[in-house]
Amino acid sequence: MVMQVAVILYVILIAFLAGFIGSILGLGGGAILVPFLDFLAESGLLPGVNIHQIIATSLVCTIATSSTSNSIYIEKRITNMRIGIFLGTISILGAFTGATISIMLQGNILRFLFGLLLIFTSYNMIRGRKFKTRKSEGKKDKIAELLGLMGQYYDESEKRIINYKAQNTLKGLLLTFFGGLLSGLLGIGGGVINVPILVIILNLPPKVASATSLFIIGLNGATGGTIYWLNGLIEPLLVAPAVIGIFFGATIGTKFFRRLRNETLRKIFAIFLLYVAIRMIYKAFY
Amino acid sequence: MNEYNLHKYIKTAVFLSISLFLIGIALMIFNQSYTLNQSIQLSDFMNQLLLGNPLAIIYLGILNLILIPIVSLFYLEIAYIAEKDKNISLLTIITISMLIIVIMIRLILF
Repeated sequence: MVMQVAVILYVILIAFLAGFIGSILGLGGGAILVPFLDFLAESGLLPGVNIHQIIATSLVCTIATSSTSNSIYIEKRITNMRIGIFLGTISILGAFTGATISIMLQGNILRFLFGLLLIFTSYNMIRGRKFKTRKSEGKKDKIAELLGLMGQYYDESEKRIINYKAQNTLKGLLLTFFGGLLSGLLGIGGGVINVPILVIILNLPPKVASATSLFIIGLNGATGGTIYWLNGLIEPLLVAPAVIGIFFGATIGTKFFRRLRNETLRKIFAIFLLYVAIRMIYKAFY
Repeated sequence: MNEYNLHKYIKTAVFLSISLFLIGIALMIFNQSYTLNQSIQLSDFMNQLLLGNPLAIIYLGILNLILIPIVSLFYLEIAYIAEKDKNISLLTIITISMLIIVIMIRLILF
């Protein structure tokens, strides 16, 4: 009994930290949650829990966090759901492929892949690159015209209405497969791939790209989550406290501590993430 | 029916899942009878839920959470049909079909 309560408390605490840190640094919670829970499991604090269950837990958490944020962006009319549905068609296929491959892979291979992902994430954080929309209109996109993949939103910081229209939609559609793949494979949202595609390829404003990416993350999470569930890898005693922890962590982080977000903090955490990545890769081999 | 009213459903559904998780965990601690790696058979799920089994309550919360993006697609489909936007409603049907197809593939092949 004491063990059971302790497990719940550990998971809530770890997930709270993941949601809190993630919201301050603009990271998805999964990148933090998976290595931390894996560390707990390895320390014997989560008896019988394997990396596949942890990835499944993280994927279900991405549905909760993306849905919460997305509901705010939908209300503000920043999310473009038409573009989300369009890209979701292939992203779902990617998430299914990723989850199916993940279930077949050994835990150590998944740790190695997750380590590589963390190195990439920390490199991006250190580099601090921000994606920008191209100024030029570019070629006319027939698919965008046909499906009405365009829109406008009120930008509060610029205090003006911004109009936009999707470009290179076919290229973007094919590339979002990889966002879904990564999401299903490693239990992350996939924003690390989706946002650059939406900004660089489809030429969407960064705010619309982030919000629309959340919509796609939800679809990836639902697809991958279902596949993991059908394989018996959804552990309720892990998922419930993780969702509660990450939900409250992200809510508190966003509401009260977002001002703390700065480049120095991001770089310090990037170095920590690099350490976590190296540790995961080392663990995969030894 | 406006597509942007979807936010109301999403907020309610997330709140419902969180509530179910909190109730489930509270009952679990109170009942003192659950450990990791326990599950409920699908055929027994409704019975257990009616009996107030904490594990069944948590499973319902997870199911509700996973259904949010799927129900959202159905909601949007109805909204686009109401708007008489044929192209996007067709695309939404394709996306919903894709979701159903991958789940069917998993059930049939693996």
